[in-house]
Amino acid sequence: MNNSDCIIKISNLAMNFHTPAGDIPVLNGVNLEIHKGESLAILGPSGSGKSTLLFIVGLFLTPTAGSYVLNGREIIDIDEKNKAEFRRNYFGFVFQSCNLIENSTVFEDLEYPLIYAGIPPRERKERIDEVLTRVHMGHRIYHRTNLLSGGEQQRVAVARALVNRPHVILADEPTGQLDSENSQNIMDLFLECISDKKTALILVTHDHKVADRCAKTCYFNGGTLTEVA
Amino acid sequence: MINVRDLLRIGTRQVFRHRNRYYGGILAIALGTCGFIVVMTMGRDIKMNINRDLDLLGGATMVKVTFRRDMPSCVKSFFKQDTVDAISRLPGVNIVSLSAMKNLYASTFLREKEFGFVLVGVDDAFWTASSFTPKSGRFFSIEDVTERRKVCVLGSVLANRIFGNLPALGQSILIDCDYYEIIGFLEGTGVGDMNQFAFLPITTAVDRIDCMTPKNKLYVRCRTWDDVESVASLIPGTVRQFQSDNGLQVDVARAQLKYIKKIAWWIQLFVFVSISATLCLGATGIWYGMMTAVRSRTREIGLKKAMGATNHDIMAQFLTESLCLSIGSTVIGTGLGWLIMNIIGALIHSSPVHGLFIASVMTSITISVILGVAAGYYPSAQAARLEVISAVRFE
Ligand SMILES: Nc1ncnc2c1ncn2[C@@H]1O[C@H](COP(=O)(O)OP(=O)(O)O)[C@@H](O)[C@H]1O
Ligand SMILES: [Mg+2]
Repeated sequence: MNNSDCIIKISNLAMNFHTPAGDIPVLNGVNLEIHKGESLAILGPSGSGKSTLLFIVGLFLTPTAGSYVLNGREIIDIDEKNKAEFRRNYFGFVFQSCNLIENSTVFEDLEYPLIYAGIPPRERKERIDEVLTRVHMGHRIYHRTNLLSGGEQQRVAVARALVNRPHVILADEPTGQLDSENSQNIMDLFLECISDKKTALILVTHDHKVADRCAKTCYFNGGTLTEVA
Repeated sequence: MINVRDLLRIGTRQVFRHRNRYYGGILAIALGTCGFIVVMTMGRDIKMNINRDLDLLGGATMVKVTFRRDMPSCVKSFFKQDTVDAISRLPGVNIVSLSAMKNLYASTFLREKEFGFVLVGVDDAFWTASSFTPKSGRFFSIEDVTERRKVCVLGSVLANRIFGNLPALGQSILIDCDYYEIIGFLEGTGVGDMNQFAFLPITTAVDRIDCMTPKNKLYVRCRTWDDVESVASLIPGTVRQFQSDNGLQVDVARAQLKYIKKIAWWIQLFVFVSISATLCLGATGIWYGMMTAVRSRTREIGLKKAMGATNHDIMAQFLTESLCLSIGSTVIGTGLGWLIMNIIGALIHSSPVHGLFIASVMTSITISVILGVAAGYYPSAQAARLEVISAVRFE
């Protein structure tokens, strides 16, 4: 893989949470490189800092030290407004559960990222139809999200992560609440989505069967990441 | 940056979906607005009505203007028609009535008995100016006065003294060698000893009755209590424009006026305090609703930030919801106010002033925008400041 394919390059990342009860060191010299079309699974025990790393990558947290280069640009010190812009242009998020907005329909939910990105109304419907078809939820477009099953909700969440055509999908235990059949379905979707070789996937999980489907697997240990062959 | 159309669409949608949370605030603001509009639009009319009713007891809005008869220099002074017209055009004047009185007792005969009474000549405006309504029959019309008809209104006590139980309406009565048709009887609150008087159209009286005083007494009925002092102070100057004001006497019932104004002031204070309290209650309702909304929707806020919403977008969304709520409630209140305004209007026989209505609606919309921003700002700022991770973390 050549260097121009590199979307994320993180080096020597450290994260300490300052709390009244003292500092909690969570990340300690994390190095990570993600290329287009790549899929990375991050494994590790609970509390090891997997979500923290994902939140730093997704620009929700500012690390204590280190460097974070996104698409060739150092972004460790950008302000909140730029962070929002990077978030909507580069990332699609899928969380473990409750991904969807209460009291809304599938269409309304998927419309939000497009609204924030300033996509004109005419184009929104097209884009939403397209991603919903990809996750096989096209027939549920005007349904209330709270009436969908857990697996269907996660599929809609995947669709929403894709609707803004992100460079990287960040998924924090997206299959954590699903049975193994639904988990494999979601993984099928993810891998299909990055098969265009443009999008990358970073996925946090503690399910080895899920991790095995990714091209690369890393293991969290003592605040650092080690790649598993 | 989220565009305004989407903002409004989403704001109204969210408010509608979460409406259960806001019913209290909506109701309070709607009622407050309704009260505000009704008081602003109908206030003057209602005041005029209360005023008229209270006045039957005190006569506080009546200004009595006379030429003194105890001074030889002005014993023959009377009000010229130009003067009367000018006074009736003064700001705050509702109606003006001119009258004259017979100097001596008038008398009539019935079945060889003589009855003496006070005879007064009045115009058609006299009854309205004094807020009198006929016990039976009718009072003088403008034609009675202009055509100098030979008609007469009797005070009910006088009528009873002369006719006893016999029917008197439509009968003729002899006064000073002329027969007059009895067309109505005067009785009621505020009439006082006028129920012992007989009344003729002033034109007829001046023509046919001996020893009438000149037309030297003006009853000036003001619109409200607040108009009395200014009207009273303008009268002498107005008179001077057309005639001498020598011996002119302007009487205002100051003691009653002061008392009634005090009552009215307390009523008004009470009304405005209740309306502001209602509006504040509504704002508190919205504030509380928005605060709980922010707390129970942290997840939503976190997710939206994850989708790329800026703090600004989040704040704009919650402020819009708050504004939708307050403006929506105001619109409901306006509708309600319009309805009540028309009902009251029908009850007190006055049509609401269109301009006042528009002005009060404008004012309430302005107030509601202020309320919406005031009630929504803090919760919205809270929502915008919310850390995304704390919102998306709990699972
Ligand atoms: N905002 C915070 N303040 C203090 N400590 C935190 C905060 N967020 C996470 N932590 C701590 O950091 C550690 C890693 O958390 P997390 O990244 O959620 O772990 P994982 O996702 O691997 O289970 C935990 O010990 C947690 O208590
Ligand atoms: Mg976690």
